[in-house]
Amino acid sequence: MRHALIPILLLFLLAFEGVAIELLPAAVKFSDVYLVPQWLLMFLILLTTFSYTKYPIIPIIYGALFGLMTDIVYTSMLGVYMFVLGFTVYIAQLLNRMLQNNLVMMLVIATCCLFVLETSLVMIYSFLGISTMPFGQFIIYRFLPSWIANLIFFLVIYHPTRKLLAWIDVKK
Amino acid sequence: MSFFKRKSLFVILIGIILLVTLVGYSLTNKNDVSTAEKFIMDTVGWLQNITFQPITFVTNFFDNLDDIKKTYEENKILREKLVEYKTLVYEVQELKKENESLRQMIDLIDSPRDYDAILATVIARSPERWFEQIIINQGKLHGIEKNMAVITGEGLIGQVTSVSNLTSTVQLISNFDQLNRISAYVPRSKGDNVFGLVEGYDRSRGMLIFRIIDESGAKVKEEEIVVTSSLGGHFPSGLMIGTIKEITPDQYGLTKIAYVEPAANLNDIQEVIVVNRKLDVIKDVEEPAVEEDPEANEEEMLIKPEGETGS
Repeated sequence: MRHALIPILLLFLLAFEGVAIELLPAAVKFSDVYLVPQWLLMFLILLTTFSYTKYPIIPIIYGALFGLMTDIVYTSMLGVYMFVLGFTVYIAQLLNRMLQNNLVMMLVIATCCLFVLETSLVMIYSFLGISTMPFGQFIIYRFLPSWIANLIFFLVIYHPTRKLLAWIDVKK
Repeated sequence: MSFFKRKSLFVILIGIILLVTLVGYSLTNKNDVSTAEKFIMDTVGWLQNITFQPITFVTNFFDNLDDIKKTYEENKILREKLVEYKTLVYEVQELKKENESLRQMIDLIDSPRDYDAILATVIARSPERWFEQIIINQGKLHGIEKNMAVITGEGLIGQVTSVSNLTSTVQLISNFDQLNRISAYVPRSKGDNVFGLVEGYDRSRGMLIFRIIDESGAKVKEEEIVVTSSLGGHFPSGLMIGTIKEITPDQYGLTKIAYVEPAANLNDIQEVIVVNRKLDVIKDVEEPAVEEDPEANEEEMLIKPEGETGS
């Protein structure tokens, strides 16, 4: 039963991403800097590291499912987040096997995954003609600020999520 | 190990196929939202709504503390304005009566300018910043339909692109593409209005691209205003879009392009008004037989009153 908490948490994160952007002060919201919350990914990285190690496909399915929901709610282009988020969780699993599970290494993994996610998004969207930003600008104005903001979020949720996942995994 | 790799490759391939299919689906099928999509939008919208309310309550409280400091000075200015306003209200009422009686004389009931307003609050904004979309807390149950215009007090900000029962998604004019152009015109007192289309948004300038189609009358100048036209089929006439800041010939030199600075502030949107025009809305663009009548009517209606004010 405790496992049902995970999709509920993911749903909350999905809903809050949009609210958080709306609540940013106007000066930040409409400056040249793009802050993109990728909270779902941050949570999924922790999920795939500390939980479901025996069934690596489950976090990927969560990634694809909630990616699709992001597509439906926030973009008018279905399938893009679904594929990219699922794929990025898979990359996180590959990195997990190579690196250790301490906080510093987790930050490295989060950085790599964010980079994979953002670049594949920008590639697909520019292919579809939605984003027209050159790559250099994308790195400076979108990737770097979002990276810092998301890493802060990652640090904030790291310990609580770890405890929560341990609690969920306890055998009765 | 090799088995796992083969399996994951397989999954990735299926993922790519799904991606292409879904992108194709959303590129072709822009008209209606499926039930599953509506359900998800409603669920997320409901969550956003219940969390947004208390958070804005707290932030508003701190804003209010700031406001209290300024109240005294503002009060003085507002009192002065209020006196002016009272006379203005009287004038407006008189003008309304006169307008109505004049309209009855020429058998016009619904003017293309008339609309019903639905008030809504912005509860979320798309975190994926390539899509300039906002989500508002009014949906189908409150009478919102696809393609309605959305304005703030200052001017047009966008158009409703998808509607679920409790929420609806608004695409801002800074994200408009070739697929949803706005029919617009530069109003002139003499009746030689200049018509055109708002075609897109120039991100580097931060201005809308207004392509001038018909420039038979006087030339367009800078600092003139651009408003919506009812000829697009969905918007009422006369919603403020912005002011012209720059005019250039287009890349082929055949038509002119004016860069229009949006009147509304597109960043700081909190309360919006969804506009439901009283004139019949063209439902299906694919059926020209049904469409012809209302469109002909509209054109007449649009030109008639303006011609009369000129003469």
